[in-house]
Amino acid sequence: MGTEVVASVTDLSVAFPAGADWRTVVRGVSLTVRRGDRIAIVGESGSGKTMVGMSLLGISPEQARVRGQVLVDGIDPQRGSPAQLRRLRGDAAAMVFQDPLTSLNPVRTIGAQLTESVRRHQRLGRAQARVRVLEALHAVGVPAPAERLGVYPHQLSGGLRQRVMIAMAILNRPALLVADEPTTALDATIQAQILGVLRSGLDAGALLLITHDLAVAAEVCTSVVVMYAGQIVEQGPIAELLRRPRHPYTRGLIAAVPTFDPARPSLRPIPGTPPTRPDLGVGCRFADRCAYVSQQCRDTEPALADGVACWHPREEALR
Amino acid sequence: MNGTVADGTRAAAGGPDSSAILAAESVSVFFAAGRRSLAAVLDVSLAVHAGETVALVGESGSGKSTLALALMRARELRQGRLLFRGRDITRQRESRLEDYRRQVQMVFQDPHSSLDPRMTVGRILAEPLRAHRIGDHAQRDERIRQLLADVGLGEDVLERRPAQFSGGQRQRIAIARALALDPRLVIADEPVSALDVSVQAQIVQLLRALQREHDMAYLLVSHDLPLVHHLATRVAVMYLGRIVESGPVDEVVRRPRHPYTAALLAAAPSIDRPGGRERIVLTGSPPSPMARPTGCEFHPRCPVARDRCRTEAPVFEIVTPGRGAACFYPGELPGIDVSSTSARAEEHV
Repeated sequence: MGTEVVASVTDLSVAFPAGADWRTVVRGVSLTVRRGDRIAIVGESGSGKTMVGMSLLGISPEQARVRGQVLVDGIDPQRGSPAQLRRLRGDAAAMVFQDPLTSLNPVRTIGAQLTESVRRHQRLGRAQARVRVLEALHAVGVPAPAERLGVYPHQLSGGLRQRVMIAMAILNRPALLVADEPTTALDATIQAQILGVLRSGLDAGALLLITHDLAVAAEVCTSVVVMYAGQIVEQGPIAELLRRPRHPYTRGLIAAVPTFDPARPSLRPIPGTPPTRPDLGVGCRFADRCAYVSQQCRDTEPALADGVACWHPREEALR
Repeated sequence: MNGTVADGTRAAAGGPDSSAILAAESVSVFFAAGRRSLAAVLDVSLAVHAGETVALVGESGSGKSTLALALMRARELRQGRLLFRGRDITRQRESRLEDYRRQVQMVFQDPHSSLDPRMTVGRILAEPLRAHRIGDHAQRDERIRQLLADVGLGEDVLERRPAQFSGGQRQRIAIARALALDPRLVIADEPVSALDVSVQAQIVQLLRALQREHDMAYLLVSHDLPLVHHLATRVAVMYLGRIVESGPVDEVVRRPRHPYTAALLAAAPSIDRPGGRERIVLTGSPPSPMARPTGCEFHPRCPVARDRCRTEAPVFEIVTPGRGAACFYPGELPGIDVSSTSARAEEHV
């Protein structure tokens, strides 16, 4: 797609205090997001995927130690001035979370919240702001948007609330939208509607979709970053990655998902569990669960090269 | 829809289904909502036979979990009967249900809240054995060791408490507890949906292996249709408290008769079709049981609804024993063409 870089993350690490020490949950993650990109970060719980998303908006938990360089639309979310951070959040970038109820103000109407958000970031009159709000609600498929302006969040269904959240996020046409498990709390038919909204492009801004679900990533995104134990283990165009996954973890993840297709491996478990303290290990953090492990894997951690961090990347199709 | 026999087994047998381990007959469950009462489950019939896996699928509010709890006698029935091995247990005193309590067990979605955090694993597993006065101390210890081995845990876990385990390990403990009394039927409500993908597959394989070894039946409550396709022999699809379609899982997936089933199948995101695909888009959300639509209750969201659907409620029509749907125009929307997806996958190899 376009080449204009919207956001970049270089050698990001995120750590939390653990007694007198630090527990590092994201290690050496680098990522470039360009205008029009739809990138998924896929990983299991503890993979560090949510921390990467939060660092892009400068909303990492207070006790977190964030290192490395993050730039979103030219702003450093960790070190920006208050004015820059205001421009960052809502203007340059926006985030949608799993549970929209916790992100909407329960005692103010949808219309008041959305209009205020527009007017805080754009110099628009009341009437113009209202037009923009209706546009955004229409874009995310809220039926009869004008009638929703006067209602409170609890009066909306879960699916409508999530649409309102996405509308609020795209109101100011952010260059980057980060959506963290936006459909995990929703039912299948509602999830399908929201994924359609996300896939539609959202005014050509870039989308970073954080999910544990490869199938959700496949529905919405064009490329994917797979994280394991705080690191990127594989990345690439999603169709290619699903067809020919190279990292044994990615292969395991794909083969673990149930599918209707009898020709695909399905529900094949990955033995073991992710390491609880990957930062304390040596060598490849997937080694203990890997069928292709060698001494080299146990001694030296492979770096991400040519889209995969593995000493023995697979070339054959997955069966 | 009176007298609906959703899975047709009773119709086939011509009387109460005594071959089933557990059967619900025209069961309705209501909840109080202020001054009104709402039907969470409405006139549902379902039977689970030895060794089979029956899946209940539907979205939140469909009544699938309420039905599962009703089958455990944890929800009061407004109407209908529960039959355990042909015996009516609907109003039976709990003290006379020892067999039923041993033979029917439940596993929940969230192993965090279903295991007592203060108990050690050893006590959690001993509890059902003690409650049913099974064996002496040594025999119970032996049984507990066997249970741990069955679910792939070592004896080193006995003195530890639930909080010290990962989600997957906790679910193994919950399954071991359910197995303690050697049940014939385990009701599992979303047993893997709180777990990470790679762990889900471990637990699914465990459930499969245990079923083979112990000849158990499962009633699987799930929203995950590909998973249901792999695990279940029969499936019942619920919408607004009613079963709208049921049948052998492969047939239902390939040739759904109810448009809601077709929409659910199409809605499931899939790694087989990156970039999405033509889907059957349902507008709106499931209606509230407070405001049930007229006619067919699915008609406001149905892509193929006609005038008749707005005024008249379709009865559940049995096509063959165990196969049926409640729709005036069945089979108009496609299912998942399993053979063609595999053909496409082979091109990739």
